[in-house]
Amino acid sequence: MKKFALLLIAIAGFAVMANAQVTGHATVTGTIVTPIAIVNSGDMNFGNVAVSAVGGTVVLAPASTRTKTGGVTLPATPGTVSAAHFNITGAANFTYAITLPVISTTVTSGPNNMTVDTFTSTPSLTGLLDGSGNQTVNVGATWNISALQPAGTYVSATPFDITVNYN
Amino acid sequence: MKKLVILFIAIAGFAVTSQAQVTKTATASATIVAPIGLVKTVDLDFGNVAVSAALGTVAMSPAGVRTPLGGVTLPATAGSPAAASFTVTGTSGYTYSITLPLVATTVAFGAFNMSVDTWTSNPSGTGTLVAGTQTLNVGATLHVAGNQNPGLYTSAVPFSVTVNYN
Repeated sequence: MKKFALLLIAIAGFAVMANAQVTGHATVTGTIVTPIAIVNSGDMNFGNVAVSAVGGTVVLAPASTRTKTGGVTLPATPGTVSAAHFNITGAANFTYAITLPVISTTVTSGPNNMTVDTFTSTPSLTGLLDGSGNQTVNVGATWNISALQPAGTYVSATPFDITVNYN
Repeated sequence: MKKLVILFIAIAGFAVTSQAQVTKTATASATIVAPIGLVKTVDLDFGNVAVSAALGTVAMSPAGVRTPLGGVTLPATAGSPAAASFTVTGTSGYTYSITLPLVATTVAFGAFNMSVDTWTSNPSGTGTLVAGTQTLNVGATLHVAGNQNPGLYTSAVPFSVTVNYN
């Protein structure tokens, strides 16, 4: 009788094994980050420049300071001098790539043209959004001025573009 | 007298039979003491995903490698992406079958949803309990709509993985 009982236990145990299966569970998460956005908050302005019989350039730094080369001079009355400003918003503490124009922009005053190129920015190439998801990108460039360039207010017919994207 | 003999034979016969069975099944019961077990060690996390106007997907491989497709990108600030990981335990040398979810799991952030499906695992289909244990990694595909609302999306109901001795 004792042996018979053992047999039953053994069979019961075997039955458990035949049905042995277990299920585990895991959660799923994913984060959609705040899209990066860019807003122009200040246009680029090279200010007042005086010309001569020799051409030259005005280099406008991202910090809004000017330096000159060649035959141009910077009058004591500078006019409005400002690098371009862009407000970048997105996910806090994320880095992003900054792409500046690789071609020149033409500025015109009536029939007269000049070109603006060699764009630079601060930060350069890669930006970092702060703890609130903000950063300002300042953009400068170089203004190429011909000898005896006619006087006038030169404005770009087409604005230049900068692009930002999460790295 | 004749009936007694028959009865004796019957009892004896039973006794012999039961004894043989006991011996045999006692050996089998030694393997029963290691039932298959499954414990989750890592949850599935797709990490940080950047969206655009175009829809896209992020496939997480069982090895933990993400692959974006379509309008989504993976920022350098990755978050903590990881495939799900389970530890399977049981009888050394045994093989077991792996059953992944057949339906999609919904992850939600407030009123916003995404779906997760196309479950994959490594090992796939059948695992082997080398030395009585094996790590089972599970990946899946996250479906992201165009301009998906930003947020931390979590599954309200966890997904299930079932293992069973073959």
